[in-house]
Amino acid sequence: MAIMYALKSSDNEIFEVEQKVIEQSETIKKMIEDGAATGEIPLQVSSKTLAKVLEWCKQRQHKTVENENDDNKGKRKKERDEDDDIKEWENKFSDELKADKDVLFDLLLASNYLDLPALLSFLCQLVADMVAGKMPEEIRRMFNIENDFTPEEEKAITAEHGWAFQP
Amino acid sequence: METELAVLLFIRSLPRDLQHEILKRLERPQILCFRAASKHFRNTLSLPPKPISPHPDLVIPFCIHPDSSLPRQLLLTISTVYAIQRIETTSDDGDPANTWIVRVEELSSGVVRVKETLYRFVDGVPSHQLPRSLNLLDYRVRELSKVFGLVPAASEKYRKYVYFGKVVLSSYPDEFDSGFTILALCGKGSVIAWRKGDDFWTYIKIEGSTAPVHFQDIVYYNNKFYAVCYPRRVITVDPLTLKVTELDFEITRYFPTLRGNNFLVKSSKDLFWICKEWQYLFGNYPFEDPNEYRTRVDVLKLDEKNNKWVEVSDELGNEALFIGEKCSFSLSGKGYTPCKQNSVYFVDEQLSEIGNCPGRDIGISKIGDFLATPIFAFPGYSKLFWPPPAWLICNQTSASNPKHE
Repeated sequence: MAIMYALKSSDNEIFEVEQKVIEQSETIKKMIEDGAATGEIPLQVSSKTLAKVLEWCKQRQHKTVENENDDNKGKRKKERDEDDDIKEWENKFSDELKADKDVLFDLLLASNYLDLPALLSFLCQLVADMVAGKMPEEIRRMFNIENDFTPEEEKAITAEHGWAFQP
Repeated sequence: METELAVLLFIRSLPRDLQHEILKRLERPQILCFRAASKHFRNTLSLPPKPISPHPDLVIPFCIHPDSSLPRQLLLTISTVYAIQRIETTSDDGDPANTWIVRVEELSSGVVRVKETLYRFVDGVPSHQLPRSLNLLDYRVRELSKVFGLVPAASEKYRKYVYFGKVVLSSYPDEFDSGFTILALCGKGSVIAWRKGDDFWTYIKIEGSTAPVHFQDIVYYNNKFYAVCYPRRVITVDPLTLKVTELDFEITRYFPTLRGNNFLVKSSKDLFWICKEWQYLFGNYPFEDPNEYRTRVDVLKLDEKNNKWVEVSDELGNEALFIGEKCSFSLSGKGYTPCKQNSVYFVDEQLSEIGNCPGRDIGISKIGDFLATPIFAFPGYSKLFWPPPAWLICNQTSASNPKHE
């Protein structure tokens, strides 16, 4: 019988989750080990975001369990098929997030807070892919920063950005 | 634009370590722009390595043929397709007059060689039409695709020429020395594979096939290589084991282009199979009237789950697919498409008569239309590749004066 834990979102919704699923979060794992997790575990994550976090964790957990049950024969093929499935699942997951930026941003913050490195790195790439073609001046304006380079440094930067065409 | 703004404001709101986790994953030209914005970004974001061609640390054995006059060692060439956009415009400006799509090879000497984007003019472009240099900080620069090739090692130039078509990699050779696999079209319709560390190249064969197989295109998609051949078959090749699996598929409707050329190209998320066939019944070339040019283009999309190729109509949204002789890529997303959307661009030798300069021998087919139109029929779009736009040439004098505050 799997051990279940009750997670409480910031808007007081309760999620019943298997220990194995939720232990992927280093933050929660530590809470459990420290004995701080009796009864409900309160989290600073909204129910909408927490549902997404758990969707990710369950998908990951699913893969780990199946691999443990495999004998070595045929394992490789099965792993590869699973990789394809995961890729497809991830594509769908990222399409949904791209369509709702607020959920994407909240999920990224939650994955950092809950210490889920795989999810965090997946989401960082997703956000990075949305940024392209921004000029230094626009970056300064956007980040509210000054051009603080010395003239020597400016020269080095120009050299990094130069193309000399082959005649 | 709104999305980009929201994304940047979000990144700005993050603690610095989290900010860094995102920024280090940007594409190379964008990292360079962050590094040029302030000391903080310059110190925290490491300089991404230049894609020097040929790859400086990679010598690939070539022991495939008993013919001793063939080269024994190969080098991997790398070129990059960039979209260079006028700075005066906004980053989502879709006017093709404000964008130049160019493929360049960065040589170890520091010099940059401009190649014809879709690869028809093997001798390169008329370089006298280029400015002497460019300062990329004067333009918005996006990376669209990496393009690979194989050439004999420098010391072996005198050896017999060996023809390589398209070359695709399972992953980009990195500084961490990770494994990767190269698949190459070679000779007349053969496909060969090399895994990093292998002493030999392996011929890719279809088990139990009695009829001769002529491969026409290869691509790497979702952790697998795909190859399409004539007569019409598609296989996958596992990059680790090189195991070949034939895709047993249904085609959802009559598919007339049996004799045509087959191509595989991926969009930002899907794999497409494109068949192009000249319709000899119509027109005479050189074509002066675009209506005389008759090329049929069929586009199918892979439905991986159901092992099917399905007909598509407006699947690409605002993306466009580009098919060259040795490369294919998509221009997509990021709110920016200075080309005909939901369309396929391809080089066509039938058009070379009328467009004897780079970027003119291109046909465009809107997905679902089946018939293609030469690029010269769209005056607004026909200078996307060549010649370099006037605003680029004019700007070269200001190259020594970057627009910093």
